Amino acid sequence: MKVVCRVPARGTVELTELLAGLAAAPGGHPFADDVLELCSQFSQRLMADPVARVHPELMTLGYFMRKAELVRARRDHEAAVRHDVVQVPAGLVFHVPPGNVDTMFMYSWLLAVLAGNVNVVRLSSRSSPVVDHLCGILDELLARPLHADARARVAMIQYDHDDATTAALSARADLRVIWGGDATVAAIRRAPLPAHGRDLTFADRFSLVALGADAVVALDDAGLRALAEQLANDLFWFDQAACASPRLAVWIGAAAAAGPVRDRLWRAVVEVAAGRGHRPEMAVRMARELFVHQAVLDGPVVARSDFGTALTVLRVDRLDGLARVHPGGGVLFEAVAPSLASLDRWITRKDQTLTHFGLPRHELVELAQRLAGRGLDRLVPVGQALQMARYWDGYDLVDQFLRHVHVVA
Amino acid sequence: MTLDATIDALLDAPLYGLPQAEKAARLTDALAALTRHHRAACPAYRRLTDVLGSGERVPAGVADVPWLPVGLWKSHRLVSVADDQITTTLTSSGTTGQVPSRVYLDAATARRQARALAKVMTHVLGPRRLPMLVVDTDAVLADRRAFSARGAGVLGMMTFGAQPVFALTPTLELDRAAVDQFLARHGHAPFLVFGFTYLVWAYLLERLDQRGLDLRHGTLIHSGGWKALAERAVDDATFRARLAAATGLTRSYNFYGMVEQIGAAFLEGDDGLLYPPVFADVIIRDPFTLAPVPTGTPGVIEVVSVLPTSYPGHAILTEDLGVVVTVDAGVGGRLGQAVRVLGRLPRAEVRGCSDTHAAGVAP
Repeated sequence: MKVVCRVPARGTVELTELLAGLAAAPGGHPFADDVLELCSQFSQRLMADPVARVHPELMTLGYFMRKAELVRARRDHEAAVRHDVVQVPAGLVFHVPPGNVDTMFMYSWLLAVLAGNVNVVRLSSRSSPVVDHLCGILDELLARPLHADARARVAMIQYDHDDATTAALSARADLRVIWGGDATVAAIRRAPLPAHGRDLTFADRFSLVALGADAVVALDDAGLRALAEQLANDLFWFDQAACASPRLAVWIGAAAAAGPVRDRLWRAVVEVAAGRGHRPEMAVRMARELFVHQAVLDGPVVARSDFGTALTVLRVDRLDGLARVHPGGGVLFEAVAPSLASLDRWITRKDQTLTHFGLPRHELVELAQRLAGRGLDRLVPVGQALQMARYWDGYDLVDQFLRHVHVVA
Repeated sequence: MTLDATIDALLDAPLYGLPQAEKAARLTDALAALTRHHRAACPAYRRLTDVLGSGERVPAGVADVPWLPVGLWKSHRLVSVADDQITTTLTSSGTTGQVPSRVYLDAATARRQARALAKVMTHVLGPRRLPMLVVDTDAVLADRRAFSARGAGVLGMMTFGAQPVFALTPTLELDRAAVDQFLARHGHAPFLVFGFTYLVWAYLLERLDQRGLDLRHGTLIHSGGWKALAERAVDDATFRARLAAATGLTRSYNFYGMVEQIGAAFLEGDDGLLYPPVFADVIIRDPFTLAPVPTGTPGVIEVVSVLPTSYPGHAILTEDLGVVVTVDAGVGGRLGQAVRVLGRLPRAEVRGCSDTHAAGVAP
């Protein structure tokens, strides 16, 4: 079995040789200085990179990896470690990132490498300029003598859809990380892990935004504009197709019964989007028309409003019967609910992120507690829907990449 | 006038003889009557028109008639007659793995579509049924209950020919013996050649050896997208030139049609443009605002047709791009809008966390 090794750039290699090399790599430990240095160099490169100016997701990645952030994460981590526990890497981590979010493989690798793991990252066989660019930078940094150990502990590879290669990698994995939704999880899971091996899976998710109606009504023009900027980030990045992209807006409170506040906000959102030059792709725009018709036939849609070409709002008169099927690309279901707490009947395991505006912290905490694990893994302010964080899909990702060795003297 | 009488009146009008303004006015009335009919007979259509806009409003023009996206025939069952009235179910072939469209016909709609297609085809073929060479395999007719678009197209065209001979084997090899035998018997007088554009190019023209074929007395009717041919850098002119050089055939007519609107075939005129017959038309829409665009501006093709009463397909937004090139130009005596089809909408680049997101549009 042969694979193409992109990082380190070694061309086509025999898989068994690759795995033997990784097995011989020197062991790492969590938040090691050399890894922090590598990440911080990577971050500096990205933040100054002209390519990142046209790909804002690269800026976001660079920001996520910046040194101050990593040092803070190390401090938090060390503060939480018990004196009778020694934290060690999980071992060999096999990453299967999604094929269509170009930067996700870096987040997956980053969180695992911070914990000191040996990482095999499967890159999409479909080439992408962003992925190629990131691989190029990483490969260049790893060539520095300081990073010889880190270089020995990583292989970012490409291979065609091939169950035998996936099986061989899975058979050696202490931890397997499967992004890409339900179908990918099901497909990759057919390959067995070692008995002690563990899967970290990221299923298909649905996300929503909750807006405190009174708070929105009270906004002056500048405040409304600021809110619209945040919503536009959440809605239009990744064509609204990321698992955390809001697909439903729920107005909380009686003031929402008045239509003007709703239309005023959505008009402001598309003005922001237009100002940024956002325009849906033609095919995405046309796919929206089909979805709108399907949604009317299949769900409780009572009205459609179009805001420019960027956004179509489909008002529903109840949440019951609203399927969590959604094409992204600028279509938003809109509902009214009497209180945040009233959402708890509707929320399911599939629901990932609730972005919020104008709702007090105690109501958010109360909702999370009432749900008691039945759904929602993130409740974050508007504007942060797509901000990758250590806590994701209900996991503490740093913790997931570690083993906890109990040492009692 | 009853709905049937309104539709029949348009079917009997001169096929390409009405000036656009008159044609549009008559179509608007007939399409409005069809909207009322489908709203009364098809609950799904009624709900769509209630929620998405027009409801009972009387359309001011053809562009005002509520349209449905063509993809809806893949995901939903859209019927305006009782189940026991359905006599034929047409399915689109689509690409492997794709969900096919399903179109439900009752006897009246099927009869009307056949009559409409006959009017279009006899316009170029004449009233006599000519001997017919089919550039396809008879295997496409295997399942007579649910035809693929290819099968339905072949079967539909067989009404206009006589003594059909299939030029390809089931594995799409050229059946030279069958073709030679056909030409020996019929090759010296007018005959009909029918096939899908891609098959004619890839499995007939490209497979011919030095001997060529003598099809100079033939009239070719062909249909199907240019996309596969565009990938081989074959355009209309190249197709015609190769056809003339290899077979001597010069009377070649492309037509544009779809399984969702059988009968409303747009046949190529002498100027190489496609002409909607009197009972059908196009509205070209801006792909972003969906507003109608002026003549000469490309956009998404909406096709209207007064033929379907068994399913609400009288106004369909396609996934094709096109442009109205001329209006009432009168080339070859044809009035009305003349259209050029520019190809399929570009496919969306799939984004998002889920690798299977592309399939997520159809529930």
